[in-house]
Amino acid sequence: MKTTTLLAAAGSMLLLGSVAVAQTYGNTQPADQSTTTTTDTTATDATTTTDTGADMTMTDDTMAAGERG
Amino acid sequence: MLAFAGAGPSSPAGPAHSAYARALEAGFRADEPVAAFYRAHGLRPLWTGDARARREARALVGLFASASADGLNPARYRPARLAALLAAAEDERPEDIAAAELALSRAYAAYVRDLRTPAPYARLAFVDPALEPPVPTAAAILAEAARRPDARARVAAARRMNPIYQRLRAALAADPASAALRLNLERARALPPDLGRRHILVDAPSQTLTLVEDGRAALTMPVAVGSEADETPAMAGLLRYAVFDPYWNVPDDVARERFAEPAARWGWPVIEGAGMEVWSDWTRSARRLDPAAVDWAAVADGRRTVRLRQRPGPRNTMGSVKFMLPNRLGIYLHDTPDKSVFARRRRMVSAGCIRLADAAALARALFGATPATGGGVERRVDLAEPVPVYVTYFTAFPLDDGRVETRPDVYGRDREALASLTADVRPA
Repeated sequence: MKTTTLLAAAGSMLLLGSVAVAQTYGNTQPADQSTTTTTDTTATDATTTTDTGADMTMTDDTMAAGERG
Repeated sequence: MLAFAGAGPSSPAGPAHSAYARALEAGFRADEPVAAFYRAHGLRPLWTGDARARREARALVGLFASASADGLNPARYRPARLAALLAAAEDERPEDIAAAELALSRAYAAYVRDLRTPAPYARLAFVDPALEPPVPTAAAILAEAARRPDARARVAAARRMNPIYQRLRAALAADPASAALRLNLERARALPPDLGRRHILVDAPSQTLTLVEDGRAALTMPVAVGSEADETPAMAGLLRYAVFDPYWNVPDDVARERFAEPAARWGWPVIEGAGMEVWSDWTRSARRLDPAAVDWAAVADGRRTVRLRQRPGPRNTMGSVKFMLPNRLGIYLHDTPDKSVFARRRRMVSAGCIRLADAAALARALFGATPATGGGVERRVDLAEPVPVYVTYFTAFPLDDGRVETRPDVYGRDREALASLTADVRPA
């Protein structure tokens, strides 16, 4: 699994010892902006991903089931 | 005595073996898994190799005769017939030995499979295939038995079940007429024999969560579970990660009823006011939508589907953390912004998820240090080792001190289960 940590304007990046703190998609971007910049913590190069609201680690049908709450 | 008595791998030889082998082969049914086992093991006997082995095999007959202790029907294994076949084999006629051998193996394989196969009403949804214990084939059961030295060791291994089952079995021995104990024994049968050194039990009737470590309760807390209209299912999954300051990804049916219908009536600001983002669909190429441009009446009556997710924050339905055991049922453990529910005795209020009274305590127990929350940015933390989560429905649960606690039948599942129990799903 690719581990990324969001670098958002208001977000703080956390690393918990050896625990992988992963990704996700922040809500700090304006409503009309769908791209966030992320840094891959397993590598040194910065990468850009597109926020589609999807959890990339789940299968599509598991993701689509949502969380019933 | 047969020429190859004992469990050694030596090649069968001698006229006694030849007659025994012919009789055994003659007794096989077409495509019988038991035959596959014997052919793979040089037709060596498992139970009847010599007089001592046959004496020990009587323990097996005794086990079958007392199968009701495990909620099973003894008649299914025909213990009286097996005893007669073993007695007949004392004369050392190869045909009689082969008949006893085959009958014992068939009964043993059926018994072990029954022991590990819960009645339909007691089954769990194993949402993570890695957790589901396979029901072994007859050939696998006999191959496993062949690795143990004698009948007593095989019986002991076959009867090894999870601790909840073992305690319920002991309770049933003291109260064999109890239908409640029998049907809850079936529910315990559905759980794997090994629950894991560290695992989580969530029980809907008692509305509690227990984190078990090395057989002891390391953490217990009240939970809220699904309402009668949205029952929390009996299921088992692997908790793989937690998400702090999470989004709430709203299932389509919940989005329709709780958000689209009010938006159709009162206007799209309802969606904004709930802290929701609107997306075109659940795919990885989804587009963000403007809630003002969505036909909410069409979403409410199912003509159109959109995907809603609620932004992290103090009003988020998932609270400050959600614990992910990925599954298609949409059932997760999570914090809640509304703690008032935990002051109530009956906490069947959710849409199926398990709301935790002290999610932070569970996070600390599982992860040690946890991220500070409240920053509004979703963060995921993986568990080094996934933790099994068993969501159970025990209306009679054995406590550590040997007492059995009666719990309310909150979803009315016992009624149906008792009818099945009366019918006895495992006829002879």
